[in-house]
Amino acid sequence: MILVWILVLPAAGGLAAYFAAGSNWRVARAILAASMAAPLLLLVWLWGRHSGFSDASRGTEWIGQFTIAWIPQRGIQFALAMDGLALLLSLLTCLVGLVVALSLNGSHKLPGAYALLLALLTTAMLGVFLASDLFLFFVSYEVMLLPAYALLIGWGHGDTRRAATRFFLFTQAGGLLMLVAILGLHVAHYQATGVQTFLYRELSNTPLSPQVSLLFLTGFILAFAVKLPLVPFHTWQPDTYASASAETTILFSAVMAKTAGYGLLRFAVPMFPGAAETAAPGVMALGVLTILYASWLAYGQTDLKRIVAYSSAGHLGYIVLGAFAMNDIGTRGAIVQMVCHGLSVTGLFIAVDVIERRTGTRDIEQLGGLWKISPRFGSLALILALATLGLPGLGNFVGEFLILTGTYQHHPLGAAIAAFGAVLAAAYSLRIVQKVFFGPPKEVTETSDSAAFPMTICAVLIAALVWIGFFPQPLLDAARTVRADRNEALVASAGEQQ
Amino acid sequence: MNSAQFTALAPLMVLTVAPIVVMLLIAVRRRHRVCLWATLGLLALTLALIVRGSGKAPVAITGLLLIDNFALFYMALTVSITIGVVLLGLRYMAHEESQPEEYYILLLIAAGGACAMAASSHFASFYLGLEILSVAQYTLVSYVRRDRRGTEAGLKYVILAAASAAFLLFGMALVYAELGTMQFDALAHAPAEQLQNKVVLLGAAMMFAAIGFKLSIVPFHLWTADVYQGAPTPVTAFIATAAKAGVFAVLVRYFAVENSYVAHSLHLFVAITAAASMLAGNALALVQQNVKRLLAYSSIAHMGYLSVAFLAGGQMANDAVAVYLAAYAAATLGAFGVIIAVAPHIHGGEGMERIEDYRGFFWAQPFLGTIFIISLLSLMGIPLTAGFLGKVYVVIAGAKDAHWIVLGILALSSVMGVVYYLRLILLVVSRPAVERPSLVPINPPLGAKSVLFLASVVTLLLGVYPAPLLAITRAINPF
Repeated sequence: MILVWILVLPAAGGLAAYFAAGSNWRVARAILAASMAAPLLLLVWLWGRHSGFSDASRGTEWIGQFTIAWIPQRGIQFALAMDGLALLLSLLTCLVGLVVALSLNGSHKLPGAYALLLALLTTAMLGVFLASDLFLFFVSYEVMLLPAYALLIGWGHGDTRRAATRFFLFTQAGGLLMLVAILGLHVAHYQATGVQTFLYRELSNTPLSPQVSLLFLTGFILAFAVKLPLVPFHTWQPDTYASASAETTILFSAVMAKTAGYGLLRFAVPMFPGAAETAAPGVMALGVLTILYASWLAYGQTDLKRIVAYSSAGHLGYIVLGAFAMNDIGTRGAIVQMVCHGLSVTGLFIAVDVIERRTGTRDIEQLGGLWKISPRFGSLALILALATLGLPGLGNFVGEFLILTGTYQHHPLGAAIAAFGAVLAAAYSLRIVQKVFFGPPKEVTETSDSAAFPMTICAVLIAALVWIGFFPQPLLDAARTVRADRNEALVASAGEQQ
Repeated sequence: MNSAQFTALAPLMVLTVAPIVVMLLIAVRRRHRVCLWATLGLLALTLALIVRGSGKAPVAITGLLLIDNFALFYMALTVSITIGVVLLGLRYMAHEESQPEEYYILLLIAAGGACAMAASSHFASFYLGLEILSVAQYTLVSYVRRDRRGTEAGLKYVILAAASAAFLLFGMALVYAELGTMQFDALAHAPAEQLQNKVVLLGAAMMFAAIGFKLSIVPFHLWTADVYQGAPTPVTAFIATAAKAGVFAVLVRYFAVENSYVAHSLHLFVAITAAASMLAGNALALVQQNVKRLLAYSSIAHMGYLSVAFLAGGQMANDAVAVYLAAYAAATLGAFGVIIAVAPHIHGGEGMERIEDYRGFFWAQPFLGTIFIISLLSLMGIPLTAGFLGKVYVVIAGAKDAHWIVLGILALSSVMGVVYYLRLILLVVSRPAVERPSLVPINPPLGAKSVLFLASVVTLLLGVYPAPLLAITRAINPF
């Protein structure tokens, strides 16, 4: 039942904010923040309560489960379940949601409606992470689109329609192919066992021929490749991020992109292990291509938001490697990478927003010398940039290192090429710092170093990244439950096929 | 006729008598309001009799009609839609025509034909039902005499529909010549060696061409856009929804039978026409500038999706068709209802037909705008609306025998659908640049409002909690 609360609280808060706040942004911010903080506290409490399990029970123990019948005629259940992976990503969602809620301010039109849409998006994303019924997962995955689209159209800047429509179409195309795969799997399971179900733990035991299995996996991968995004399905992303409002961009990059990584780790790879083995070289090649190509493009941009957008795509390419490395270390690395990237990209987009507010531009050619004016802010931004380039001692390094280690075991060439991504990341990160903070000062409209509030948030995010960088064990322990789960599914369906 | 047969036949009898009653009422005194109430009353009575007759054992009547839960479901669907159309269109018809009373007679006749078709078990009753429906529709399409487009559409429809009826009749004759029976049942369960006969094949092909015409499936769709555009909008709503339900009833009952040779040999035909309808319908809808034409092409695409259900036999096809039809009818009625509601008030009664007219519609008419958006989202197939559930059922039916190519086409052509629905929704919610006539507040009559409201409620309810409808589809399973 606690899972239902976690799921429903943000949406309820959003509704309350919509009806109570109207045009008063302070009320909207307070209500929204409270509705994000409450599930966050619940999640922290759950984590604390379950961190003491013995190693033996980790694989089978669910942190929480909730099931009621939804559409009994087709065996569809409103089934939620939480293990370590879901816990970590829900935690990330609520944390980022809280950051977004706190950064609401008077500059947004219709704050009540804005808060409602942000909250609905958060709830849909939590639904993705918590669903253990594939139908519910798909509904949440698709329903994310509606508030996301409305946020882009209603609160974006510049050419939002083109970007938003492209985003919608790409995601729909991927999503519908995944729907066909999910329903195909459901029917195949029914034909093989006579049981109608959408519970993924049961569906992963469906006996499938290798061809069909590969076909279904392709459906899943296409959907996730669009959302992550992987090159060549990435063309919606930079435009969308550039035209969205700051809060929307943060939710998109920090959490929504993770729904795809989560889907790969939770569904695509464990449910079709044989096919995943077959597809691994191709998908990993796309992952490596994404890492290099997106980082390369990031270097060529002048718009700060686009740089971060491309860099974000580059870092998410690692998650594909981790997921398809098909070993424990890669999987755990991917989970750590998702969490750390979520934290660092949130910080980066906040920093970009601060810069844009202060100077009125995001063009790095027009910026310069900000360090002299605001050294404190500059140093925070520098640390975030260092986190992005994977400096040891910050969380992102742990994730990327584990992923590359995991990948190296089966695909040494892929890991070797992907490692060059770090070089490119260093190049563009340092280029931003160089251009924005050093060099001769250019037209800067405001000169104070007083953005206290965003700086506090950045400091907290950095603290979390440092903590993960030096003490990753609690995170790795929490991520561990997933591995056992995954192997169980792997063994079960491999046994079925033989 | 025994009492069981009498009870079973009662809805059809009321529906047959209804046009005569309304005709006599007009003869006594021509009053719009009286005709309206009489029509609604008779339709409500029919619906009540349908509900009363449900749940009983199947009743066969003279080999022509078979009345069971399955037939009653489609009859109920047809009659409910007709009630909706009557309520939605009342101000529109009063505005368009100085004498709108005969419109109700024609609608009742058309509904009667569609219901008879739903219950038919014999070629003759099917043909009669279809023709009663069609003849009423010819007149309905060109009912507004001063509208030249309507007359043109009516003429086009007469010629093509007459040709298709000839095909149907010729096909039936050929099948009869070889099989010696006009019972659908016999055709559905005919053994393979009888059906490999070229004459039977030709006959069946001609019959399906005619049925494809009625459902506007590619390549028999050429009349659709012109007729949808030219007909008075309430009539368009009727043609798009109620007129199709009866045909689907017969198709499901006799051509979605599992292990039937005839159903099996149709699969290739169904797969090709379904794929062509999905692709052509969506592609042509992309370039339309007129809302009614856009919905016409989108309805072709929807018929394509719906045909995919026939690739699976038995229970799955039955569930898929019933769910999809209910979802499609609710959404289509909602969308057309909005177009009907604004028509008498805008541009001096010309209505809003260009897509561009809908810019900023939501801000001027929040109620109608919301209904319009919900309907379009459902037609798009977004989760938590009825349209999504329909799509899920259709895909499940297609996945049963692993028709992956058709399903791939379904998925990708739906994305094309998203393009034009989304464009329309965007226009509806965007802020208008200048003051335009569409921004006059419109208050539709209470009846129309409640139908629109109900259509949206059904759309959302089926999307969020479809279990009750699914229980019904299980109960009506004809196999």
